Amino acid sequence: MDKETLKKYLEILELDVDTSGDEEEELSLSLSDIKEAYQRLKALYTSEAMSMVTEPIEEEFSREDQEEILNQLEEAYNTLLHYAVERDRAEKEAFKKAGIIEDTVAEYIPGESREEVEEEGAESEEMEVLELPEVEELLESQELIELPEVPDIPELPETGMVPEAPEALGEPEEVEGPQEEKEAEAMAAEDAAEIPEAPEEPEEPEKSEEAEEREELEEAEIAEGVTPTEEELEDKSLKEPEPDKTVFEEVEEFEDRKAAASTPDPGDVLKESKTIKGRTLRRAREKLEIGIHEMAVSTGISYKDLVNIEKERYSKLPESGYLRWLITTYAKTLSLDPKKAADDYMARYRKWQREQGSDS
Amino acid sequence: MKSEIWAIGGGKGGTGKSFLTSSMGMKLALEGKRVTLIDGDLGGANLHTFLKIKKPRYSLTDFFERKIPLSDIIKGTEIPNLRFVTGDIRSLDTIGINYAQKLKLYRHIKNISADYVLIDLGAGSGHNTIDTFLVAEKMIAVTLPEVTAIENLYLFIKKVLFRKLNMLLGEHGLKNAAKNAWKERNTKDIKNIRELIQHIKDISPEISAIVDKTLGDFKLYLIMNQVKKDQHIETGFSTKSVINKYFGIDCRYMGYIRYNEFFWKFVKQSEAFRPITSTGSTSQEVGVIVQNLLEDKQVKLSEISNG
Repeated sequence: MDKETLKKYLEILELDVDTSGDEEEELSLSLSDIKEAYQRLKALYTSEAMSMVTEPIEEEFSREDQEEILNQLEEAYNTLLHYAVERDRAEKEAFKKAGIIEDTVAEYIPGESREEVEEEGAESEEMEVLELPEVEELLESQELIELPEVPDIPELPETGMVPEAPEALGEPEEVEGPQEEKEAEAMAAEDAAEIPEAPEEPEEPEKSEEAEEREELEEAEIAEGVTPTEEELEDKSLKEPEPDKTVFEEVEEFEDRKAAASTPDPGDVLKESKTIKGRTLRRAREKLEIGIHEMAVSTGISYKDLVNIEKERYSKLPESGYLRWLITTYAKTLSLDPKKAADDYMARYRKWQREQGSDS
Repeated sequence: MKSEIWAIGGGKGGTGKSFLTSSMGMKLALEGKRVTLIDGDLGGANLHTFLKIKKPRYSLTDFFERKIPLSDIIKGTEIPNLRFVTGDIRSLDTIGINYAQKLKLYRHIKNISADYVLIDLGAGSGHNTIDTFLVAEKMIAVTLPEVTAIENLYLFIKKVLFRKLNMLLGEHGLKNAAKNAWKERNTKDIKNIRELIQHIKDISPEISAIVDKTLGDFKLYLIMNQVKKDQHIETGFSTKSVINKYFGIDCRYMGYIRYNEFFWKFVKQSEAFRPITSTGSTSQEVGVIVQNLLEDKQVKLSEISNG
């Protein structure tokens, strides 16, 4: 079968396969991919999914037309399936001839397997099972070469597509009145001061698993009584018990102290390292003139949770898995970077949790 | 160097054409391309609202009525590389321009010095809107995942194709073939545009080949706006499929924009470019659409079902 024909069918099933090689070169295309693609597209083009679209021209767009679309899919599926099975069979033959497969394979009859596979094709879950274990292994190893779609890739569009741009409140705060300016400076200064903390958290907290691993390591170190970091020393000043104060108030005082001590940040660094806090979220929301109740209705997050998130009342917030989702949803609604918001917030939350743990 | 003209239409009002025109234009400009936006919208041009610019002194009305050259009407924006022409209070349809004036406009548009010219056609599917749509290198239709919007989209496409067929047949000396056939559709038993096309193809094998080729090469870029659930995204695929089958053209699904409850708050509150420079999903989705249009790459169902 020539590449042009194959290309046409690949397009119909939306399979992304490199067809640029020689005419002779086999395509790397797995049976499971073909099956999945077919089922997915077939599900889409069934009558229920199409009804919104065919209703306006119901009288003119017949059942036959719809069926033709499905027939085309089926033709593509059968053709590509046949191609892939033949290719695998030919490969097995080649391996056998080269002595890579042991003699027991001689019992294997190519014709049988192809029919079996084609029969099971549309229904079975395990199409790539071609009887013999040795052959399976070979096919599995081939699958490894063909298949891997690194799980992280879907995340990239979230942060990679759009150029780094001024964060939600970068500009508006500069424009506000004097009080806001002071707060802006305080935040800026605090961000500058927070940079040295970076070594404790991952430089680029893009993979939360890594972040969690490191945190676990840190916890272990702390437990063993390793020399405290600068950050921990500063923490101690926060820990000084004043039972009347809420966490929120403590954080504010901490920030004020930092503001007094540090100098304002250059704009670029601010962009990259600016932490998203509860009050950052609140300000973004207020800037857009969105009330908390409106926010609650839109996001499905309860009024109470929203208030507690904004005020960073950690003790009143739900468990960390759910909390992360809350922060992400909140940030997304306001067009703030949801990953950064969640990472920043959860880092602070976990720090608080650890402090709770070591207190008791 | 010639510019590439993109026309954004689709028939129904309120589907997001103005928003998409301005945001795609901004994205392109921010990537360093030279972009000129043209507002051809009905009832008080909207583009300047999205661009946060006060209505400029000259508009297309002045081009038609006072013969001011287009180059004098094009105005800069805060984004370098992004310029724009505001439309008229009345749309291109009711403005009463004659054929010669229209051709003059198209000539000027084609001579605009830019990498990309994006024309917001607004609602309506009168002759002038349709003709402007056909001038574009990339014809882009925006619709909503809603029966009435899709219905209007079909109507829009029908009119565009009918017009295109007329023009095509005119080039082959059969100027009124399509029109007359349609006029006499009852006697000729022509119930819809498909049968009309078949009727025209029956004229001769050469005409049949020409019509087939023209339709096959006719690319329509589809965008689904205000998507509220995955099923709506999938509606884009179904719509594309039906359009291809029914009209015989090459409709390509280029992307979707999710419904954002606070969208208008963003537009009202922020600087012009916030929706585009922010990291929010709307901005990213527009970015994906622009990229897809530049690479002529469609959305894949596999990207969505795995979600």
